Amino acid sequence: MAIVILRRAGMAIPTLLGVTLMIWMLLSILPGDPLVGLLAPDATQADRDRLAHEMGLDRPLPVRYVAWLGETLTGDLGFSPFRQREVVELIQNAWRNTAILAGASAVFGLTVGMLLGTLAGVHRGTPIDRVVTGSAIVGLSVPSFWIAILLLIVFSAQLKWLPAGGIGQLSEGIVPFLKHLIMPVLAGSLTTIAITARVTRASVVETFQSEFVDLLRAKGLREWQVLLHVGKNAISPVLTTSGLQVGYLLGGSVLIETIFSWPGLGQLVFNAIAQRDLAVVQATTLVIAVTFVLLNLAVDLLQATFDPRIKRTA
Amino acid sequence: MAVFAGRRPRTLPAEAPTLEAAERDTPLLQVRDLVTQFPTRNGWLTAVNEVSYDLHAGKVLGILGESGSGKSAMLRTILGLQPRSARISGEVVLNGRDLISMSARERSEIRGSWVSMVFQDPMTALDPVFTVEQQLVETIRRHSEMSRSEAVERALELLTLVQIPSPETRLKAYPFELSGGMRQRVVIAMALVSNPSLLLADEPTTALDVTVQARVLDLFRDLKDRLGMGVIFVTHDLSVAAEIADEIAVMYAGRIVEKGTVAEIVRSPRHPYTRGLIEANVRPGQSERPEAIKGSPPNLAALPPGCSFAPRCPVAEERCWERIPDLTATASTGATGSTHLVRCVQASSVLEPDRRN
Amino acid sequence: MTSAAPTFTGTAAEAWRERDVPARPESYLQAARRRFMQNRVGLAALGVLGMLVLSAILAPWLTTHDPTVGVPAERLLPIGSAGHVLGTDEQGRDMLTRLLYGGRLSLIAGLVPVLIATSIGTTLGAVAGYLGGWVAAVIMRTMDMFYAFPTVLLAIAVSASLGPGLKNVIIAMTIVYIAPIARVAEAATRKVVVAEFIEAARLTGASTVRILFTQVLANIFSPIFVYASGLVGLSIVIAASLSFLGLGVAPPAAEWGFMLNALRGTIYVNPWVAALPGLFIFAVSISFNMLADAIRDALDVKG
Repeated sequence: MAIVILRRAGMAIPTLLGVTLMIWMLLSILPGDPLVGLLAPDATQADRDRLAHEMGLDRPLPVRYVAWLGETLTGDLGFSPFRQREVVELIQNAWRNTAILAGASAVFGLTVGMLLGTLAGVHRGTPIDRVVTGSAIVGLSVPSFWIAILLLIVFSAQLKWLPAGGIGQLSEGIVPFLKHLIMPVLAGSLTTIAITARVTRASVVETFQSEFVDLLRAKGLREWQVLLHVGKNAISPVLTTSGLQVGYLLGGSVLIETIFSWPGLGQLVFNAIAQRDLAVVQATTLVIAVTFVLLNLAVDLLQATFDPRIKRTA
Repeated sequence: MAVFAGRRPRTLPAEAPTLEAAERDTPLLQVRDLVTQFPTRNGWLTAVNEVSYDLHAGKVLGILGESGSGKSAMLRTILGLQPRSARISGEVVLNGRDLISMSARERSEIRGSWVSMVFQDPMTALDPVFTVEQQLVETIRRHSEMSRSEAVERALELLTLVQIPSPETRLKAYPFELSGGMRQRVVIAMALVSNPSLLLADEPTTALDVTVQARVLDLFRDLKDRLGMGVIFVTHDLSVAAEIADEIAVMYAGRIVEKGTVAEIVRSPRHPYTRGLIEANVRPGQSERPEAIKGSPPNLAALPPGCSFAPRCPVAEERCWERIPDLTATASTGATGSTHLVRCVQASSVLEPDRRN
Repeated sequence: MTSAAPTFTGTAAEAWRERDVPARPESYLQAARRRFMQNRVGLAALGVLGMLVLSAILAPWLTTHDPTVGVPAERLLPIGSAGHVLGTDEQGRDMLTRLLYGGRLSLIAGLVPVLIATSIGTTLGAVAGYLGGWVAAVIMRTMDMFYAFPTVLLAIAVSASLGPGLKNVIIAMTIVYIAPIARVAEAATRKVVVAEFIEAARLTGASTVRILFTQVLANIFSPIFVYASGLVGLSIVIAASLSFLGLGVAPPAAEWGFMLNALRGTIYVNPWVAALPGLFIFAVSISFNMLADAIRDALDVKG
């Protein structure tokens, strides 16, 4: 098992390097003047060159990448000229808040999705299956930001049950904390529920068609015992999609956090985009992408514990 | 039985008659007018069609047929493994109890205890993510009240019984770490957990290498003799059936078309289909290539009005196309307890042994 | 099944042999067409999409108001107001007009990236799958890098660095979809390349490019078409998301995602009008998803 972990972790390193290269390229080479927001409107070409030199923008590209990577690895994510703060500082708090929201959405979305998917898979072809499958395609198609607005209309504007935005501090009690969490979690996890339910259903249905299920029944096992076997065999694609889902929740947080004024990475990115504060966009994208890669690594390892073929042959 | 003395599963229904108590003449298994139908877009498709036979304890009935003949569907019907959408009628009486009319719950008690099944492909029949030990132990504990450690001991004993070398290490193995032959032995061991009175074998040697095939077949024979089970052995291979069976039933398009002792079927086949099968089989000393039966296996969704074999039959006449022949005793069987049955209107004329060739 | 004696020899046999067996088995595409025509959900989705697309194209003839200039006195009218069936927005512009016009940009922003990405991704994937070796390694490892990003985030990051504008949204989303389509194309090509007819084409001296464009493309069409059609629904939503975040069109143009964001502040005053643009995004997205499911079932492709 230790070897599997090492090998998988080793495989993640080139991916992570690729991620840093891509993010750096996106925001360093692509059109869009990085100095535009930093210079006074009446700046001369000389001011411009001086600032470019100070920021190291006149060096060759590979040198700039390596220098940037070195800084990034030592935890220096740059400085936000708009907010006059170190980007690391900005990100730390926001990361915690996003983790709370994305984590809660993931737990809720994956649990409900797996339950619904299993239910539909076990009762395939029945009305239960049709209701779940039909709801899943609705959940898959519905834009999360629209659901967010519908929730706001109903629960905030009309019924006035829930606060329209912001984050509740746990120190102020669990109830306000949860009240702030409900709508963002519901809006964000709808797609997760839908995709997880679809993948789970497909995997359960396929596993039920395996011959070993016939043997389990032929052995006289009770139906719940058969279901346990099917579950352990069907979990692999569900785990794979779970890792992806959490990543999508992190990406989708830009929309959800903006709508619900949740002070997380997403809102940070949204504001930074509006201000063309590329240092913050770059750093935030990097943090989310690295989290995503590490999450998928964790899912990979988790899969190995469910499937002996990975554990013993890797 | 001696090997398993005192190991009769405790969950067995009390009214279950033991083999010793059963009258010698009462068959272990009586199948009567068994019909299995599946719904399709164009109506019901009949996979098993009015199949009837008896099986006595300690005997092996070989079911011979091509794919699509209904032989596997018949086994699965007996065990209640058909999907809920299937329409099933008839009787399958095992030890005096009808498996068809039984509730699903009762049937699951009987599965794995009175009646077990060995599947065709050992590569797919075992759950890939559980060890051999886990899979054996759960089966043992389902049908007895053994503790975990007792069950492990019993699992070891079973692996030894099916002649798996160094069973202690195999017990900890996952199926993918075992060879095909080894896996099939594990499947067989699993079927023997509760010393069943009836064993259903669905082409258990087909997926194996030829050398392994012979050894697994030997194992079957040995186990049948030692444990006194009745066995239904489904195969498409005449030589395998001839080797292991006492009686052979030939199935075509869901029906039994001929049934008799191995000698009767092999030496004096009456049905043109059986004859075709035998001629398609390579015999020692035969120089020319064996001739396969012309035409393709029957399409169950589009059977002819009369005898299902008529479209491929070399001697079919108009009357063969008109109605389905009955399964009747052949003339040569004589008056004493007819065993050789055939479903062919021409069995007594065209196909008399002396008129062959 | 007559038991009566026959009058003519062989009639029963002849009748059975001549029963209505189709003269020629239907081709793959014929079968796919038949299966699609029998799928009521798929046909309904196609109908809804047809209507939405037509009304977007015909917007200038179907509407009576100006999509960009409003009447300040008629701001925030509710649904069902006289002269404004679906109400008006925060600048007093007719909602129905803007929704129909908005469909033009929203549909373009959702569809175009999938089309471009499909052609680029298919080419990359087919080349990688056909040639294998280091070419495949370079192409596919590069594609893997894109997988390290959540889709929406990547689209946002690219779009943000290119700057706002519909064209940039389309470029950003195209970049996002190339990688997954290349993966599907590569896997499908590898499956096809080992097939005998490719070997046969090679033996007849056909060039690599020719084989790629005739034999390979014809045979990887189904899985790619199914995958790409499944992307459209998602693409519509992501395009609208980018506009919602202010990365898409510039005011006063009408686009559903942008409109939804603009009306966000009015939910306390005129809630149900504010929800309308989202309803249109949802209707298009779900229709495309249902259509994609129907296409997948019709072409009999797994996944």
